[in-house]
Amino acid sequence: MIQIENVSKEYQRRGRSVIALQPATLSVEQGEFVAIVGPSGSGKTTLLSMLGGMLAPTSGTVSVLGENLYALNVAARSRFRNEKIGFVFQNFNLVPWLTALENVQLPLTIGRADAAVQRNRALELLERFGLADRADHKPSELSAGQQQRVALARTLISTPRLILADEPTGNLDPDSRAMVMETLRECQRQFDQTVILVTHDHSIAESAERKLRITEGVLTEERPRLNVASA
Amino acid sequence: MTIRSLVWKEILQRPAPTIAALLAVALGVAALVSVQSIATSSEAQVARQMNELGANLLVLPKSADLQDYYAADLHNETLPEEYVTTIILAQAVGVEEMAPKLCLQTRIDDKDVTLTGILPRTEFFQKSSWQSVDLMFQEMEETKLGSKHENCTGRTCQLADADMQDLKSYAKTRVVHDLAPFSILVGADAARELNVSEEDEIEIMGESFTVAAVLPASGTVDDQRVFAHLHTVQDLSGMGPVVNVIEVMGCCEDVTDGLVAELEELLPDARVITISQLVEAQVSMNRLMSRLSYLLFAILMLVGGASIASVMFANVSERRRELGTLLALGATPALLQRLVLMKASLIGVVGGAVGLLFGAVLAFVCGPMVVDVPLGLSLQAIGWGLISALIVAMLFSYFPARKAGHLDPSVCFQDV
Repeated sequence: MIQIENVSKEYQRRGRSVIALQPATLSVEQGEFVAIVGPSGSGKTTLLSMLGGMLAPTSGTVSVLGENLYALNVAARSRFRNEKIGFVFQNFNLVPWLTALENVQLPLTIGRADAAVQRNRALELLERFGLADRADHKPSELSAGQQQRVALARTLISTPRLILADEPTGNLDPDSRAMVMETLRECQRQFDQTVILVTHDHSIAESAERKLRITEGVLTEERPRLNVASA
Repeated sequence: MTIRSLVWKEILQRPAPTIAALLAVALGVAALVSVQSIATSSEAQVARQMNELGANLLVLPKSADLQDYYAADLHNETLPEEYVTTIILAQAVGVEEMAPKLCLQTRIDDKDVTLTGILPRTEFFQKSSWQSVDLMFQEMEETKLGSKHENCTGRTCQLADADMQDLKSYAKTRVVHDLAPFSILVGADAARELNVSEEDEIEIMGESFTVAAVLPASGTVDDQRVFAHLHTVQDLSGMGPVVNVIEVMGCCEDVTDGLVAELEELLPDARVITISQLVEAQVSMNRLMSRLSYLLFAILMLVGGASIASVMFANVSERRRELGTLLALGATPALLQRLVLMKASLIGVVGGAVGLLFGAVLAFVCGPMVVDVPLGLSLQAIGWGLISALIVAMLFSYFPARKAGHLDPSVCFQDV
């Protein structure tokens, strides 16, 4: 499913070189639930961005579903992301001037899906998340938990093969947190989706099938299931 | 939901900056459309007048200032009326008709009116001061004021006596065959203003006059005037046998140059000008106005463009996280660029349309205050305005669009 080979990331800040991720090699199988932990600024988000095809590594290759992401041109990579990868953000990143329904539709709008298909699928998902009556509400009119559920619905509308979640429960109350985690696990089980989740929550990390840690850019396997090597 | 509806919803969410940019563009288009429409209409009017008055000359006092052919008599300088006799006696080639005039500003029913004295054709040979040359006149063919221009095809040559007999034809021919001393011709606008019609009696400067005819509208200042017999106006004014201007109608433009030279020699104390000289001044003024409007348009469009660029840059910066999220959801950089450019094109098109509307209203409302002509919109200005508005909006949004396309999608993670 995911294969990264000797991937590293180095930034230039004020004329100085900053290593965000030391060369790392990692393999994730289809349907795995992987947690990545580590202190803030350690490189977790950098790794997630590279896995999502949004940040080109300084060295190494990132393959998802057999596709070398950074060998694709920008447009092809964007299309790949639209069809195969879903993101869940800590701050939900809902578009404030769109309704819940329209926010959920967005990936299909970008993919130029038929308007009726967009609407029906979005309504189905909102109903599944108990938000059918909030379809016409703007994000500012929803609670944090409701917003994250809308964001989850948006992620799932294109049935991605890979879900990259960036601290998805960080801003949620316990009930909403439980609901989000249950949904992600259900997706993994029901649709064989691969979930890679960055978290500071110890219990969530422990409940994952695999636990990876990044400290000062060095990726290590804390609880291995598959072979992880940090070069 | 479509990409277009995304653009539309975003504009509705943040209307103020969009409206500001739109107004900047609209202002430029409005300026172009209004000024160009006025200039074009004025040019058309001048061309029409030129066509009608092509071979006409004006004999004016040397010191008289002149900007408008139809208002040539609206000044305080005078010429002796006997200049009319002098011109007739010279029997210049191509002189078909003459119209000496004297203007008097007065009030009728508490309304300001220009009372204009005109000399009917029958009077040209009857003025008492001209008695000495009566015998000579008798030898002249009474229907000709000058020598015949051989093989002439000019318009005024075809002016029939019947045309002059009809008082209402004065608005067009500017010549009247006969007019009683206390009869008046009233311009279309003046008749409406004074609420008079034919056969009505009205009092002017203590004398009672009969309305002999209400003239049809001519689109000139004559519409606001009241015309009476020249000698009556001279008596009312107490100025004696003088006129403000003598309009000489030539038979055709072929005789104009020769006539000017001959009249200048004949009347050294007068100034003789042709309609083409006058028209040249008006046309050059119109062209200057037209060129200035394009300059003004260019400046306003640059300001509008800068405003659009500023709004778009601010918009892209403000929406970094939102645009980053769209990238994360699979939008291509080209799609983000298109979102910005679609918004810009909407500003251009709507701004252009608003400007066109505003410019048209401005032209129709303010136009008649600037030039006294019926207005029509300049299609060329409309075309230029709308196309330029769109191009400027797109051009000045290019860099903001590029910025959107080059956004780092990782911005959507930055809070972690």
